[in-house]
Amino acid sequence: MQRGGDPLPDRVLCEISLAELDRDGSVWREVGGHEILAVATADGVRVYNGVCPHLGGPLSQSCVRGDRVRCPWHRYEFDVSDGRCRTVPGHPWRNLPGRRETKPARLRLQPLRHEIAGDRVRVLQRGSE
Amino acid sequence: MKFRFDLTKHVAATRANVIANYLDLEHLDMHSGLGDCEVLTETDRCACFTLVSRIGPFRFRNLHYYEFRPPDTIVNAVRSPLGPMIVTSTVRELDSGTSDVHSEVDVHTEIDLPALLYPFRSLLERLLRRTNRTILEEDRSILERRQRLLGDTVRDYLRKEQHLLFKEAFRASLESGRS
Repeated sequence: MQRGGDPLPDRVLCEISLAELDRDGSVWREVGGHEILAVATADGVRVYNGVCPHLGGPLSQSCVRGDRVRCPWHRYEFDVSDGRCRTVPGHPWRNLPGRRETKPARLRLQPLRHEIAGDRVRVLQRGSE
Repeated sequence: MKFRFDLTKHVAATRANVIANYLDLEHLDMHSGLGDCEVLTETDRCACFTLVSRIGPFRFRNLHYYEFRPPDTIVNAVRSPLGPMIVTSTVRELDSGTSDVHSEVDVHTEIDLPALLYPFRSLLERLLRRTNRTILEEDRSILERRQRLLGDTVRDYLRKEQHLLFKEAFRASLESGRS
C-alpha cells in the first residue's frame, strides 16, 4: 500500500484465451521475465509460476501430461490441480541403507493471481510488486 | 601407460553455484550421456558411487570415487573401461570488473591406459573432450539460468530436504567465505 494513499491497482501481466487452453490443455507464456503456466483442470483454470520451486528449473521445457508437470532438471513432478510435489525421482541414495529416504518434498508450484474475464484469463501482478 | 590432458571451461556463474552443481548428483539424469547414479557410500567429503555413461550405442557402468577438497576442487577417480582415470576440477571465480560473474574451471585428466589402447590416445582425447563439452553445455543451461533467476544464492541447495553430496562441508566452506 502506498503511504497515505490507495493501494496500487493490480497490473495485468498477460491474457490467455480460454479457447487456447481448451485446445492445448496448458499454455506457457514468458512475459517481462515472468514464466507463466496456465492449465485447464477438472476444477477450473490454474495459473502457476513456471519456475520449478525445487532449484529453479524451467517447467516450460516440459509438457503437462495428465495432471502432472515434470521438471526437466531433476524430474520432480507436480500436480497441476493443487501445485503439490507428488514425485521425487529415485534419487542416487535410494539403496543406501538407513540414509535419505525418498519422499515427496514439501514443495509447491507458486500459484499466480488471475481472474477470468469473458473468454480470457487475466494473469495479475500486485501493483506493489 | 599414463596419458594426461587439460581443458578449461568458462561459465557465467559464481564458484559456489558451480561447486553446488558438481555436488548435485540428482541432476545427472538430465545429461544425455549420463544416468542411473547410485551412491554406495558417503562420508563428509568423499563418496563412492556408480554411474552409467553412454557413448554411442555403448553403456558403461563406472565406479567413481568422488572427493570435495574445499573450497574449490573436486577429485573424481573413475574405474573405467579405458583404465583408471583421475579427473581433477578446480573452480576459480574471475574478477570481471563488472557486475557480471564469471568462473573458470580447470579440468586435469590423467588416464592409465593399457598398452593396447595407448596408440589411440589422441582419438580418446578427442572423444573425452567432446563428451566434456556436451556435459558443460548441458550444465551451462542450469548454471546460467540459476544465476539469472536467483543470483548468487545457493541456499536452496542447502535446504534440509535437498539431497546434495557433502552438504555440511559445502555449507562450512560457504560460511567461512571460501566458496
